[in-house]
Amino acid sequence: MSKTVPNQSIAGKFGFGQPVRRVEDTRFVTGHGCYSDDVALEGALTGYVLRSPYAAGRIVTLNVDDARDAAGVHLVMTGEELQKDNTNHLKCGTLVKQPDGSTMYEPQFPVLAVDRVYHVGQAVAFIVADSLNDAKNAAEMIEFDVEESDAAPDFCTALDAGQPKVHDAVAGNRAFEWRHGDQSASEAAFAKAAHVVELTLINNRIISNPMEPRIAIAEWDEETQKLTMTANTQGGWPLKSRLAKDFLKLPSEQVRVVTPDVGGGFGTRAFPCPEQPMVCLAARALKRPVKWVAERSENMLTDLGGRAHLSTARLALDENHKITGLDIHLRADLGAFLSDAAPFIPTGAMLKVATGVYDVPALNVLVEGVYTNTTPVDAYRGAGRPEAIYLMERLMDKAANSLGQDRVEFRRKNFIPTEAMPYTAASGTTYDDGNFNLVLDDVLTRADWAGFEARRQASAAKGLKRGIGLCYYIESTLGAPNETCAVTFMGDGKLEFTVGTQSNGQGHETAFAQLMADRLGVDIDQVRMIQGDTDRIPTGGGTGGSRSMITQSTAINGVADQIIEKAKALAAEDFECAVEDMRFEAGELSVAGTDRRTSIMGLAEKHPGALDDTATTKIRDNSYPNGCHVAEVEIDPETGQTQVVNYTIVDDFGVLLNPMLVEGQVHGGVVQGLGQALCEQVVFDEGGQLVNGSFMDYAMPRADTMPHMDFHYTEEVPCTTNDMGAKGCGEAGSIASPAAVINAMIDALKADGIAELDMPATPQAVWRALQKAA
Amino acid sequence: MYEFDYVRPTTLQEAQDLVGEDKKLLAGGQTYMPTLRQRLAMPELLIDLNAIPVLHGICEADDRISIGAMTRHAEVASDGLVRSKIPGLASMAGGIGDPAVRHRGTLGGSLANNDPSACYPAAVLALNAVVHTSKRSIEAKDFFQGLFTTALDEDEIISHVTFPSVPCAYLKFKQPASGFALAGVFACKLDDGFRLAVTGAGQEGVFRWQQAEAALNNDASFGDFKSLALEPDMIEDVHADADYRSNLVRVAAGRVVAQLREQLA
Ligand SMILES: Cc1cc2nc3c(=O)[nH]c(=O)nc-3n(C[C@H](O)[C@H](O)[C@H](O)COP(=O)(O)OP(=O)(O)OC[C@H]3O[C@@H](n4cnc5c(N)ncnc54)[C@H](O)[C@@H]3O)c2cc1C
Repeated sequence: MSKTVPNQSIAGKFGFGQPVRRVEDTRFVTGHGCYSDDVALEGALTGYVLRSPYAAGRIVTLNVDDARDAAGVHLVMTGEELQKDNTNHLKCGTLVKQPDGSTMYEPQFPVLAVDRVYHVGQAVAFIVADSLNDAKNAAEMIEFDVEESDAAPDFCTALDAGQPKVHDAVAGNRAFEWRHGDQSASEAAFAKAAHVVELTLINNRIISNPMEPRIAIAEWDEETQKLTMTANTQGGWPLKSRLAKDFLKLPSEQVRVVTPDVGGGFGTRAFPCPEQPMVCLAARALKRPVKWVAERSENMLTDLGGRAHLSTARLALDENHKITGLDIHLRADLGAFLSDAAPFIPTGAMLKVATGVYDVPALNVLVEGVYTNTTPVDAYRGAGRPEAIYLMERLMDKAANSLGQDRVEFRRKNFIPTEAMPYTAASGTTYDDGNFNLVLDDVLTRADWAGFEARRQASAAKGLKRGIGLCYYIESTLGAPNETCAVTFMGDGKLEFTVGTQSNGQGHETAFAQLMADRLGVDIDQVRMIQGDTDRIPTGGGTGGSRSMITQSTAINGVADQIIEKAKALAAEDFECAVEDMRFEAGELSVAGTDRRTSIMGLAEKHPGALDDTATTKIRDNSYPNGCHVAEVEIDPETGQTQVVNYTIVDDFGVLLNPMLVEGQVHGGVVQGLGQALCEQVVFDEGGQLVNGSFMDYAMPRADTMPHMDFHYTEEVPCTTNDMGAKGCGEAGSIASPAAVINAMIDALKADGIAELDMPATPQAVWRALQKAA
Repeated sequence: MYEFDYVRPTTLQEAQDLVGEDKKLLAGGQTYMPTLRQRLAMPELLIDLNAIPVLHGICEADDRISIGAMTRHAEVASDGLVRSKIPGLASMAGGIGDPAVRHRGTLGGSLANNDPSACYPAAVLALNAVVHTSKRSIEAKDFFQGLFTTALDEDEIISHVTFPSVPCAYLKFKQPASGFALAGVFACKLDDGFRLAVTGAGQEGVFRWQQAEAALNNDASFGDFKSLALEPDMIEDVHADADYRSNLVRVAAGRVVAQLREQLA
């Protein structure tokens, strides 16, 4: 039976499994957080980026002479200079191999434009001035003329014949072709199939919109020849090495990246962006700190996009409705340039869970990367896995509906049986465990799936169409398997420990402190987590791919074990007894059968430095969080407005350290998923202009339109690939919710003959579907 | 923003003496501040109306309710007099934007701006309110002159607006990002009959839906708004196409008239 998050624990109960309140929140909600923009360096200059208002074209004039002479201006940087210095290329770290064995071609992703512009918002010149107003005044003096050419902003059509070319060197805008699976086995399955079901859908492009915009601050120390960058990252280490190697051409010890409090990452903050090298190079040239903060609309225009797939999937079934094959063809928008992980997201990351929780004997996948004249696209919460699950779970509903099968039973029939675990899917992924029927039974009971018909009739009596839908998702966590934790006893009854993850709002200061305190038997306020400084913490995998808990907890457990062993040895010396006779419990070391004891903190004070230790650990494999979300909707057919009236969740995240933090992650993820499903959508016009680039036009989900979420979890299926038994939980909500709600909407509309509905299912889209069906 | 001078007069006369070309008024700033920040306006002087006491407040005079130009939407929404005498106006004001917008945005700013998706113009037009300015009084029917265009001269300041006390109701379907009207209908019954003003939908801004008014005047129980012609061209934008907007106007009219009937009964 699943559990519900208990209330905040009784004071003093801060141990493992307790819903400990977030220690960082007092700081955040009382204005005492220190975000990047709060970092005010003495003598700092302000950077401002002049951006292209054109989507495509050849630069005819870029004259910055007047701007250089303008009041308050210290520097105007252009692409031409960076090009000369060979510091004008943001490299992609995940180029993929094509079917013929070749590595895809990588066009230059310039820090600042040279010769051509490729998307609206592309950086053209960087102005550094005393104030933002000075910089903006100077930007208006820059002569920038472009001979415009036609743009290809729409990823659904950019591969079509006759579309304008984004890059001269890339035929037909096809960035790469990538295949996986067994094409002949798949073709055979389809040839023999009793039923074939096909679905084409769009996974709409969104803007992740963290509350905190992109920020980059650089400080150059002439004496030590060292550059310190402060930025809102999801882990500063990759940025540090990129800045050192590709831009500053310094040994990596001469670059430090500091990440203060971060107001939202969502994958978008994980990758290098053009402004980071700009401020670094400017700060070194001027020998003064330079700070750049994106304005809100600038951030919306230039933050990495998310999702943006056009996907077709076909399912082959035998006469008993058992799946025999799956064929996936998807086209993924990459934008104009390759952001760091962009090629990996629709390929390797998507593939991890391409077959969902089902036993699919034959799989064939074709992915085409698509260049468009738009801002680059990269990972967004779930990154590839939401796209895969959305496709699969929509397809499962379409198959059940079109074959007259019950959606639940059809899924059960095709589930990977628990007895088959560990199970290696046709995707190549090995799921270590999972009990999908257990979770499904539970969520159906809690959502009163069986009682739906009565509720449907009650809605119908009010003139509303009611539908119910589910999504059974599975996720594969991603990211580096290694993590490190270093502990320093401060000598005052407290300790500090470092992590190589990077909270961007999740509550790591609470979670990891809770774990460390629990393991060493001390109070949570005796331990302090340190993050976000590449000088203090030499390595780290950062936060992304729901990796933080599983990797960092392993390192914390590892170092705690080491410290306890060391403490036993030290205490045994002090007490002049054998190590075997030392006991460690609740923070105390005692000699078995005696009243001789000491606290671990007391021991550390007595032996300064002796207990300090570091552990680097590695998880055995990814974890496979899974669960089932059930959404229930009411649709007003007159206006197409949809209300999500019930939302029930049972998740399997293995063992939970702090169920309240987990529930918070799920809430946020579900809201982002419902935003994508119901209202969010990036719209470019034919000329590549962003039409809805402000919160006046880009519709975010809001508290007043979101449902109450009935959240439960099971701990009956611990993960087997890490010692804690945890599975990542950060992305799950955004993976499950789009399919759950769209399936519910299609259920509500199917009596009208509607079998498909794309995201975002806005009131107008629903109304139009009903008009067409009528 | 570009640099400008700023004054904060305390009397309407001082403001009147200053206002003119490139010398602009600032009310709640909900529209004008973003305009300035994006460098879309370059005034020489900004005249802040916030410290002029006579522009604030709500009172009853000669059977009409008078609302000062600087009265915030939140005040109108929560004011006892407005709620009891012009209920549709209070509920309309309470549905504008979000709490931050409602606590800064003003009646005068909204009318002077005449955004085609704003709510106030529908109420003012349907209720045949009178817009009083530093120079004259303008009837609602003459005040609104198309997209972002009004009868106001460049150097004219709205001081207050007077409304009749009548049963009335407002219903809007929100543009999901901003909260502005995707389609909004304000309905009331004055001595000369039913009046329905539509906002958010017409390409030329707020308008009265004469066919609907005539149908209701002919038969007070009329409900088939879907059958009626909607003459003005509808706005088409990223949020809604013309046909969907007309549908929303028709649905809103049916629902808001039902609310009005409840009040009239
Ligand atoms: C997020 C958001 C959501 C919104 N949602 C809605 C909505 O749902 N419905 C709606 O109706 N409105 C909405 N608004 C508009 C808002 O309610 C204000 O009405 C509007 O911004 C103008 O009022 P203001 O007081 O802010 O005027 P300001 O921005 O200060 O001024 C606007 C213009 O009017 C002029 N002006 C101001 N006062 C006077 C005066 N007394 N005499 C002459 N000219 C004057 C100014 O010079 C300026 O040109 C929204 C605004 C925002 C930012």
